[in-house]
Amino acid sequence: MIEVRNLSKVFEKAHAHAVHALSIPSLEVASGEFVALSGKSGSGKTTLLNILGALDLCYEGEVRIGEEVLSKLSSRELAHYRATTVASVFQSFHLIQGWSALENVALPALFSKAPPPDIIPRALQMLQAVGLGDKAKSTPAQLSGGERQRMAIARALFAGARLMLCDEPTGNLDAQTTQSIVDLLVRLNAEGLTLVVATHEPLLLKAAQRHLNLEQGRLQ
Amino acid sequence: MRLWALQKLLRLSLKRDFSLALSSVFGMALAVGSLLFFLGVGMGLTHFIQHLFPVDAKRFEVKAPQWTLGEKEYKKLDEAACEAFQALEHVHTLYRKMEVRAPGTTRINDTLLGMRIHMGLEIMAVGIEPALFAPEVSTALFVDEDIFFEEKEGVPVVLSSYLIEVYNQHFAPKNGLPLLSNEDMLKGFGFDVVFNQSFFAGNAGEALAQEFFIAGFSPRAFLAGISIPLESAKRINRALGKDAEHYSSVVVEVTDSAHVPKLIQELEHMGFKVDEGERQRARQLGLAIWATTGALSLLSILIGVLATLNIAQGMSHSLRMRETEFAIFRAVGATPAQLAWTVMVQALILALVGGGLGIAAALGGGHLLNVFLFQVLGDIPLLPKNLFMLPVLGCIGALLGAMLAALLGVWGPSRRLQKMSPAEVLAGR
Repeated sequence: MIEVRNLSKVFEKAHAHAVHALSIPSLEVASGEFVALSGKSGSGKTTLLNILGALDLCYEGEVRIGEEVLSKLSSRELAHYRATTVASVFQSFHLIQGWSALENVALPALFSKAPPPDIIPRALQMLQAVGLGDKAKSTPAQLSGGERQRMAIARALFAGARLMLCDEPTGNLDAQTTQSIVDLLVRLNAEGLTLVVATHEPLLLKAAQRHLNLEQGRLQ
Repeated sequence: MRLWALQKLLRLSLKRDFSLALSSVFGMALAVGSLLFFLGVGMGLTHFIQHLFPVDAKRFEVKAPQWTLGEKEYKKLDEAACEAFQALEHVHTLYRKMEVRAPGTTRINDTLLGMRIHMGLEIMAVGIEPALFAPEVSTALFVDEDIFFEEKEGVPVVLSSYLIEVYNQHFAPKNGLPLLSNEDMLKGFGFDVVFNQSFFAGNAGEALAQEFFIAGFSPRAFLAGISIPLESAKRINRALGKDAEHYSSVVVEVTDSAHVPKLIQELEHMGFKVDEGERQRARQLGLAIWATTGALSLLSILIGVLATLNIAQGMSHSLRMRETEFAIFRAVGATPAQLAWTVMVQALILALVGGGLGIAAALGGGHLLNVFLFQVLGDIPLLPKNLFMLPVLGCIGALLGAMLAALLGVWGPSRRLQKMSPAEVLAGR
């Protein structure tokens, strides 16, 4: 599913030395695998997820997702990749305030060239899949942290992505809610979804099939 | 991007920045409204001036000076002078004019428009070459003959078409007379004029009676009297023992209006006086109107520039505030072009709404101006019914201008949006 070769990312800072954020000679993640990424703050976890999610395009090396080499895709093809192949879930949810859960989940359909004909039923189905079937009309402000993260996961599932990248998905959640999100991710993985999760959460580290540790941008 | 998706995103933008939308629409409405209002009034005034002082760019009138300084002989406008004019380069046609050199009176005792009329009038007559009135009056009809026309017999007369306006707008309403919906209603009306007779100066010599009938109307006809065929004026002057050889004036028509200044110079050099009174008045009034309109339009354009800057600054601020939202859109599959397109469509809609409101305000302002004119200045003769003329093309042009300005305003912000790195924005860097 994921093949990384000689990946290197340097942050250029004005009036300061360049910071080597990532240096990964090789990384492979198989289709349907659940990989947990851990490491201290600033170790490069988010940077790696952003590169895999095609949100960060300034790097050296080769990143192959399935058959696609990300650096060779055009702007339009990258957007299509983000819309259909990969889905990102963030620590701070990144939902559209003021929109209902249903609207948030169906957000990718707005930019899709060929949106599914059954947008509303599909969005409802995704909400039901994450246990928010009865909260379709609620806005993010009316939901708890755990519910918001579920909503974000439902949005990530909406377009039928095969790869989900989660950046500290339980970072802002209490213990009980964390357990429910861990259970949800494990279930999704069991259904065939490839998961790469950056986390410090022991429950998630335990649930993952493989645990990778990053230190100063290098895999240990 | 599909229409419903665009609608959804535009509604979100409106919800996020209603005050920006409001100020952008207001700015555009003010710019478009003031520009169109000033243009409409400028065009209305110009039309009015052209109506009052119809200037044919290819024609001007030459008069013999009443007296000359430093010259032994008076310049006479006779046939020899006309031949000299005709021989000048770029002169196309001459239209001679000759006043009937004696006063005349008429006593009307007839039925006109179903009303019995008894009145006496002092009449001044000018003979004019028939071709000057074409096409309003047929040259075949406007001849020095006693013609039978609608059971009347006499010499044809052309009246100024402004007389109809003055009659309809002021004379008829004040005196309870019927309005003339059509000039043809007066055609064929006959009357006798006795020359060498005046109500004020008494009889100057042997009287001469002549029957006339109204043959038509023209804006080029003599305003303060009657226009008759040139040959009729000559015949009457001869019969009265007056000068029938020299013309009062000659209208010169040139092949191209560009040659007018040069010809005027030549004719003045020959010792003739070119009557530029109306020409100059019309030109000066027109220039004054357009200078004022131009200055006010520039002010409106300045407002438009400020409105554009307001859109640019407002949109730039809004996009910075909503950066995270746009980064989320990118993360779920939006292309940079789709986001730029959304911003541009939003600006276009603001410009359309602002421009539309501006057009409505300009039309409303024009209507109020007309109402004010009628209620406050309604008694001024020849006042037009409409002093505000706004062509559809002007509205379309202003609307397109507003849209272009809005696009220019969002060009920079949308470029920045396209270059935004979603990873950096979502990471809060």
